[in-house]
Amino acid sequence: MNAKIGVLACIALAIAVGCLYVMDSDPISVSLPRTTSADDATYSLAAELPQVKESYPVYQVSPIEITEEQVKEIASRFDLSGTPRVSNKDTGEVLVVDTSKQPEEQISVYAHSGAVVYHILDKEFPNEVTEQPKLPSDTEAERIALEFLKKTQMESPDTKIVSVGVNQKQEVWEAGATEPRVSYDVTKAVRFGRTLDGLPVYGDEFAVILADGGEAIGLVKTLREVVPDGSVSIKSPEQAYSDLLAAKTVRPSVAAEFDDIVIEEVSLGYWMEPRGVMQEAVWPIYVFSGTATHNNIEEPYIAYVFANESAER
Amino acid sequence: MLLAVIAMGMIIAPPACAGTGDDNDASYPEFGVEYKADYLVGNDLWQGAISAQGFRNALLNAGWTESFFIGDEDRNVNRWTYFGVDQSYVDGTDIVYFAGHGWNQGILLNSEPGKWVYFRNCEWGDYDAEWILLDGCHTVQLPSELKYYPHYAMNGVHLVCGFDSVGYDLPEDGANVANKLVDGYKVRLAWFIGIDENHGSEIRVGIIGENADCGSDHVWKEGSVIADPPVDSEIYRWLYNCN
Repeated sequence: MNAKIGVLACIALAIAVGCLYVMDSDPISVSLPRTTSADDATYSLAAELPQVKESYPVYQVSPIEITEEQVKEIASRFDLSGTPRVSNKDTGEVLVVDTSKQPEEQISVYAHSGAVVYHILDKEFPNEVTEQPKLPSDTEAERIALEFLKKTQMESPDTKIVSVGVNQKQEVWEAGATEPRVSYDVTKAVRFGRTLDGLPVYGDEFAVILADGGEAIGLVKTLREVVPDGSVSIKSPEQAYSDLLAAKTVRPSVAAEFDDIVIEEVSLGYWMEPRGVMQEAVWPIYVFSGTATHNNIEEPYIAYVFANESAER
Repeated sequence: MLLAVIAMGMIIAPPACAGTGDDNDASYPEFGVEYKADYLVGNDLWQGAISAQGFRNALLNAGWTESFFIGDEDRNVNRWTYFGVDQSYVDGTDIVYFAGHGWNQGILLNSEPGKWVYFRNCEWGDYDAEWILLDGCHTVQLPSELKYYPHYAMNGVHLVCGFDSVGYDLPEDGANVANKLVDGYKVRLAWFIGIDENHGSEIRVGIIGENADCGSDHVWKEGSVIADPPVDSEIYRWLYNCN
């Protein structure tokens, strides 16, 4: 009897170990990352190259000097008080946190760019959402955002609304799922943009963030003032496309992350650096946009190439 | 028979409970950093080393202890995986920052497949790790990869921060995030706002939590940290478009 139990135990153990082995060696699906740089085969051009002029204006960023009084004055527009402190000297961020408010509100002014960033952190970044927040319609969101900018004196007449869309989501996922079990849109962003010499500016970030009930709970405004500073000739669209393929882009190239990139539009614009970066000149750029694919997952693609050799660092 | 029962039990048992490997986190917080810049056959990320150094400097200046700082010289996946020595590295420290290539199933320590860390081969948090920051493309695009039976990468770790979209190879990311972490921001907000400072609205970042409560965590010494969450098959994800 004992021998039979032993045999059964051994069989059961063998089955169990076998099961463990099979489960453990579940083959990982085929979505493997690229292991080499992107090359010509990554891209396909499905757009006509633009007609370009011989020269385009260059702009100089107006110098700024951010003082403590200026930071306090900007904070007061949001009805915030507090002592400004340098939060990050590398980015030039000067922060005011108003702890008298519940929840706390804060505003940052970036000395390197003049950018202003306002948050009600607990409302903009809630830990958990358990029902769909009441977000305004796009039309209503535009109205609320414009009113908020007027109230805080943060309007810029040279900008217009370029998009309205969801800015944050929260989701609940189950093990092994391919879609979330629950998904909520948490905030909406009303984004503004401007043009220089009729061309759109990229890198500027100017958005009002709206949360539950349409409350404006966040603002980002990186919008350096500029003045014309002569003009430059630009490279041909063909040369710019070659630069794109060679990863000579304004931002670090991410082309190697994708299996395929279809360029669906080629246009011109101007480039602005992020808010923590000091910038002196604003140069024309080529803008390549389209759709990128990796592992059959599509996502929007955009890359910028300086249109003038002088701008390349 | 007893052996069989034990063996079968191993199959159906839930993953390990959250970490108990270090009881001194609050008084002796530790961090680890790994970056990969030179991928040997191209597709290099040269700013990753600067970003990693920036993260390191900010935490050292705030009084944290360095568990490890590893660059291109060593590409051992065993530091990350359950079958390796993760308890002495990635799961043996409180917060880990990785700068390098990623995709929606793992991270790359080098170009050849033997140097790829698959989330399915990881069990983070059953020893010590609370927060893992993956500064690489698409690392939180497929949350279920971090809950893939039988080896849950989210196995007690509170939060895994990464990118839903691509992310740029920028030198400032590590410092920007770390400065927020040691300035009293919640971990979740430090990741979102720190990355946001240099990435534009075309970029979407994400964070996966064992549960929603993990979203309220600060790092040690900077505010509250929730008790290690029970490990189950459900996870929470926050997504944020940069501005």
